[in-house]
Amino acid sequence: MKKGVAMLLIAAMSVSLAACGDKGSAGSAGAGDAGNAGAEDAGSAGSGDEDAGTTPEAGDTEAAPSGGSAEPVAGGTVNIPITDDPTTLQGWMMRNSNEGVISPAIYETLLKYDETGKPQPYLLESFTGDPEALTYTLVVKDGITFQDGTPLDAEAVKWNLDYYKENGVLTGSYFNYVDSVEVTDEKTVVVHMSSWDALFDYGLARTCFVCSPTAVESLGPDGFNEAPVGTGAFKVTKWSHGEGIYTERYDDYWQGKPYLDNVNFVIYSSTATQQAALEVGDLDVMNLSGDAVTADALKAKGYNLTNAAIPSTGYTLCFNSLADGPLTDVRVRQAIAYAVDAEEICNSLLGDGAYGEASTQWAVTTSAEYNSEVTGYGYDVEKAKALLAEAGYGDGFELTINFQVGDFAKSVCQIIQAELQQIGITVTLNQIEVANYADYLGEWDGILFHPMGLGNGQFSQVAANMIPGARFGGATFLHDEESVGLINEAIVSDQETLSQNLKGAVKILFQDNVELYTVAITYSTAVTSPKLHGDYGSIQGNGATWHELWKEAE
Amino acid sequence: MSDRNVTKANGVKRFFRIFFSRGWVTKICFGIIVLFVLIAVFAPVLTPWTPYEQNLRNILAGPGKEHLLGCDNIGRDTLTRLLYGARISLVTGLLSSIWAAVVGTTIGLIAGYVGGWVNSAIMRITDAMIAIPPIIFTMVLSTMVTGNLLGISIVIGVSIIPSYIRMVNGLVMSLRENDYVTAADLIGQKQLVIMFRHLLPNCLASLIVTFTMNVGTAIMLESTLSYLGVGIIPPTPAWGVMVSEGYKYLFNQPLVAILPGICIMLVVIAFNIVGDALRDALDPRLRGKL
Repeated sequence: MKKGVAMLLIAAMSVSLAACGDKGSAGSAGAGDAGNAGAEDAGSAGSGDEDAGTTPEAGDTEAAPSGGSAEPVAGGTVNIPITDDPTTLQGWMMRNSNEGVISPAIYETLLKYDETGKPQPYLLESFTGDPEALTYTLVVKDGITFQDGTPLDAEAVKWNLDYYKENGVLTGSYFNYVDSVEVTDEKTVVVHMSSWDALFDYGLARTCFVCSPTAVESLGPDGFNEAPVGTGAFKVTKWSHGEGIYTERYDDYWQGKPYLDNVNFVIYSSTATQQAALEVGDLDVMNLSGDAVTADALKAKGYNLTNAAIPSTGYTLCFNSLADGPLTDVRVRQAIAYAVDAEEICNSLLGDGAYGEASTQWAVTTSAEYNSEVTGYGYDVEKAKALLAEAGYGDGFELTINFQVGDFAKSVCQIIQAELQQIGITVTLNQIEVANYADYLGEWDGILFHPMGLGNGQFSQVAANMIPGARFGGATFLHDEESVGLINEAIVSDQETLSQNLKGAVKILFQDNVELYTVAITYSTAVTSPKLHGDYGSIQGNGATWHELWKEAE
Repeated sequence: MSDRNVTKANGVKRFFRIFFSRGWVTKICFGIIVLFVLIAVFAPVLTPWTPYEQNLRNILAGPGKEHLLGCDNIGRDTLTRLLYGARISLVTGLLSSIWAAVVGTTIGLIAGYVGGWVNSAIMRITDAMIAIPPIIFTMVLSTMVTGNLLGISIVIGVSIIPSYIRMVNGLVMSLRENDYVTAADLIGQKQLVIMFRHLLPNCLASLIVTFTMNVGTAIMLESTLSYLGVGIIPPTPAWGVMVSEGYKYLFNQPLVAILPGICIMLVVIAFNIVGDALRDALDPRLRGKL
């Protein structure tokens, strides 16, 4: 009897092991069984799908892949990790890092940054500004439809601009001067500005994902949140909260039918589990930022690494210079800048420049927006101590550094904590969850170690954020007359004056007032499975060409 | 030597004989506790580094002559942080257990001896506290303290107080029916005297066992809280913090996460087994080898 039971157990275990071993061919979705179930619900079948392994049919509008020499195949599922549920899928509210991974697959913007960081028409045929008339004229491209089949026309663009101005997460930064939006014909929209805003195109390229007005009005904002509809290559089929977001290809995508059947965004909270999932084939992509150790390890194992062409993030110490306390004294802020060894931090954590670099501002030296007059503060502990003593804080003080949860930010903040201890400043680290981070953007205690998105360049960020009334740091930055004057003058000026003024503002903010201190500038690094082809590219700045991605059949 | 002292000495000898007769597992576990206590006390002389000293050129360096167990994600010596981590774990374990024992025993004594509605009220509150999983209970309470050693020890202590109350209460309820307690009451001894002079000493054996086992529980709780980011906060070298920080590099530099994990495991198992052996040594009905 016992032998019989034992044999049965062995047989059952063998079958289970065999089933586990065949996981790859079953089109795994990454989040264990739940993930697989979701993927299947979404119409995914990996190699088990009927379309998998077949070349595109003649007559299908298929874009050519941008990378790889093999013939592209249609079908398959790509699984991409996110660290947590997004707080929203509403196009006008998406902002945080997880939402930044998902949004480019579902939504698109009217303009898109090119490889130099300049906004170029994307869903638009043309985008022209008239500073004299205070208008921008937008002409919509032909043949673009939303995933619900409705067309993207001038009315839809007007609806989106009006809706974003009322409800958008960054309306205070980018839509301040939008007065009204007028439809002049089926394809043309004229935006009337109350005052000239030379950086309006940067705002349109960064945010304001174009949503289907029909879907928002029929579903309501809450319903739309669960079933968003954009013009992107993939449409959401299911949002399993706490598990992931499942999408399927949009066959009528305006740039051509996507190769992949499904793209799933599955929650893997830590880099270690993401790496493990990538190595067993449950994930096809890993997005790394500031993680040279994992990037190098995966590179050594044959995974493809792609650095974004333009910097993705400027990790910055943002001082609360207004609240009572030591940080109101510029000498204290200078002392902190002297005590932080940004060069060494970048060299050691970012692979000696392979994945990022130190900078004195929100731009790298090769950028046209870089101001060489901002020389920054080299690492000098003695100078830092002297400045602190001069400011009356020779015995040090206590300080809080707030940072959004993330491995790179945590490591850097710990290093800074130890470095500041050398000059007598006792730092308490306050780690903020991604979902709560937005609450800290207006005002914070001490220092905010902020990952400033640099996809849209330094000028755009300075102009949008370093003015009174901006959502970011509205109650913590000095907004001194000179820098605000330069910014205000810049955005109503020609390109030359704009550049000159904003470089002047950068000098005041980073060098003279030390309201901001850039510790590191990182590039998004996409690690992709050798089986995934196409240009996944950068996750930020909507750089990915989703419809061109294809995956080798299992 | 007086007869009384001889009897006492024989009793201690007998206790240790029974304690160590539980087999080599008990001896090893006792040795582990002694070793970690020595490490905690002499940490500064055992390593040339401090747990906060970082060398960014040694980030995730492997074991070598300079750094025997390598370095962590910001270039701090892993061995040094492990040694100092023993201090944090043992101090948290002992502090929380001591304060829980003092409070829990006192409440349990009063409830058990006074009885009536006082006993009912205290025991129902205790039941309610026991019904809440300790990790949830401590996670909620830990948000009220700032991640310092004392605060976390108090929080952990609160979660283990009910185990003392329940145990002491049960013992006192049975002990108070003994003739010597009735006699003490009849000759007019004060209630406090009866509780602390006659009842408490008779609970000591069980208290020692509970205390030892709770030290292990407290260390485990502290490590879990620190791992979850609500316990001891970085850069303090708590083992839970080290596992949390090293976990990310499990595939690239596994020692950083695995070593503190092993330390937690060893200390918790050691305290539990020693507690078990103590119980057997103090209770002649429970004897056998591990």
